[in-house]
Amino acid sequence: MARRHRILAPFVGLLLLLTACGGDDDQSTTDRPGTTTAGPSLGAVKSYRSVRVPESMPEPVAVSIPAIDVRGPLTETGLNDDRSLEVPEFGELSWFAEGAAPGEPGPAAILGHVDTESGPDVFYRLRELSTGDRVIVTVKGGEKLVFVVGRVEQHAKTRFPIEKVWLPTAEPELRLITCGGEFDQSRDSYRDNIIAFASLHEE
Amino acid sequence: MSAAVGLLVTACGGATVATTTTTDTGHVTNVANSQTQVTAEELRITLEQQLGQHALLAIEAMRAGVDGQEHYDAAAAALGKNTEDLTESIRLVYGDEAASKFNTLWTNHIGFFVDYTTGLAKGDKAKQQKALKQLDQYRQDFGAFLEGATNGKLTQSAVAELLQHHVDQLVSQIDAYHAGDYQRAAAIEREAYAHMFETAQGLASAIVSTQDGFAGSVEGQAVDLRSSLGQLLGEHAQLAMEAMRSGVAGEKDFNAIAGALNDNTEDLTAAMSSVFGEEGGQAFMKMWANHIDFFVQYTVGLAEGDKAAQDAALKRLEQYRQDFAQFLDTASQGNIPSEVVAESLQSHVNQLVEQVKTFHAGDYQTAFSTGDEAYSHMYHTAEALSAGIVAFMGGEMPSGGVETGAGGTAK
Repeated sequence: MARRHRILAPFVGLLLLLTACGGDDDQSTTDRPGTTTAGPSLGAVKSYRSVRVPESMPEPVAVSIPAIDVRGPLTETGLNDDRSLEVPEFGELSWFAEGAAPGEPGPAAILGHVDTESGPDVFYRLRELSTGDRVIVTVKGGEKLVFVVGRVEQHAKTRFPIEKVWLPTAEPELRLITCGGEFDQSRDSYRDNIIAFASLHEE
Repeated sequence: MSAAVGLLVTACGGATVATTTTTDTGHVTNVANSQTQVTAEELRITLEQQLGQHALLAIEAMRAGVDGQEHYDAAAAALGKNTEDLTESIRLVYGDEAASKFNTLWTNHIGFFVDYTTGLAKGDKAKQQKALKQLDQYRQDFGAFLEGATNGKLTQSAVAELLQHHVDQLVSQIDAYHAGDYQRAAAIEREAYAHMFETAQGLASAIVSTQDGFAGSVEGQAVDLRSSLGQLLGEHAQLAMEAMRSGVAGEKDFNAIAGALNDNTEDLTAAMSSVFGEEGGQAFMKMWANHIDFFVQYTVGLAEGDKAAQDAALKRLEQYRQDFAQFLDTASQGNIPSEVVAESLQSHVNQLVEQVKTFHAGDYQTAFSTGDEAYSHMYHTAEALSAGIVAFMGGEMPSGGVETGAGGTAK
């Protein structure tokens, strides 16, 4: 999968090289227990080894968004040679697999069409999402991750908020992206993108 | 000039408090902020750093207190220094009178935590209950203070609720620690530290929206990234130091602290994976784990008086410094230059080694002042690292919008 290989050749070479006080109302803060000294016990310290195996999130397989009656399996898309996003097929809900997986720190993204040439498609009602709506992503193995929508924004494709959508985050986040706004007949394209921003709901 | 003001001034190119314009808001007299060079971002990061450190040092002092450890006075003094730093930040925004009021309230609440700890150590339930009651009153008083300071942007009840979490976390961690449940204590320490970042962001937002002169925004992806890295790297330094001190003294909580340090390493790795991909994250983790192990090896050498083992660990740390700097330079395609990373790591290594060496020698004051430097240093590192990541990601992120519509519902 592409996201597993973002760093290319120079990096692989490097990897090979590296295998080797105050007080209360009666001002009693000086009142403290007597001093004790622990006996030395270095066994645990000597046997300590820092964690070396990263946790990895299983890949997402399905998504459901009850508020707008969306549910279905996930396909995968990546990047075109010009670094533009690959467009999913009509009728597909598609995880952008060169980004984060849902549940990993970073912005994961799911794309879907707003409509086909003949009528509404999977993300036709994405613009209706509002703060607090839930997005449930099922990953391989069956675990369900619940994301909560924070906001929905509409931006001209010519001024797509790249950093806002794609800059790394320390927490798991999710973006749902489709088209919106006016349809430009001359270009056969919607002028805008609708983007829902959601964060992982921690129990 | 205090470190806090120094930090703001350094970051913002020479801001000073110059105005005497005042507005009476009931509880606090606001001093209109004339520090036009102080950015909203710097205010947020400074408050996060200082409030995060407050939680960490309060926890360390409470543990030393409940166990009657020799370094208690130094830990308490470090916490006092943090209070002065926070007071200077408040002074910068709200002036002398508010700073004085803040300092009194804040100092008192630390005293209540100390009283709770003392009661716990002595099995004095009445003292514990009294301290909890005083902390409850403090929540109301501090809530009123901030409500006045922020012109009602932060309500007394909202602040009191935020503080309830802080109180619960600090009390439950020391209860767990005293009961010998070090793992739970360590897990709560991480939560308590993280909670202060929410608090700081809310406070910074309220200040910026009610005071003039703070350029920019406290929110945004780049600021969030810097904030997250500061949080994780600051926590790394603190937990590494706690583990080294616990290790060299042969304390029973070593495994729990080391476990929390592992959790921090996993979080940092995940953050790095989101920048450099899964392979990059794995490479980062391997090197990062090595450098923690080298610090622990140094600690063992120190505890056993084995000079050769100490020297060997320092030699490995020196090699790590070079390798890690080269790694970030290569992975970021030069956006995080190796010389910058190598220099930063030299300070990190020196500080962590110095603090455990002095701690072992019984010079706790130097150990904690060096610890303060080590913690602060991580926030400078986070600033440089996040700027490099943003620059690197400029060439890595998907470009433009996406064509996800054929117009069937619009034509």
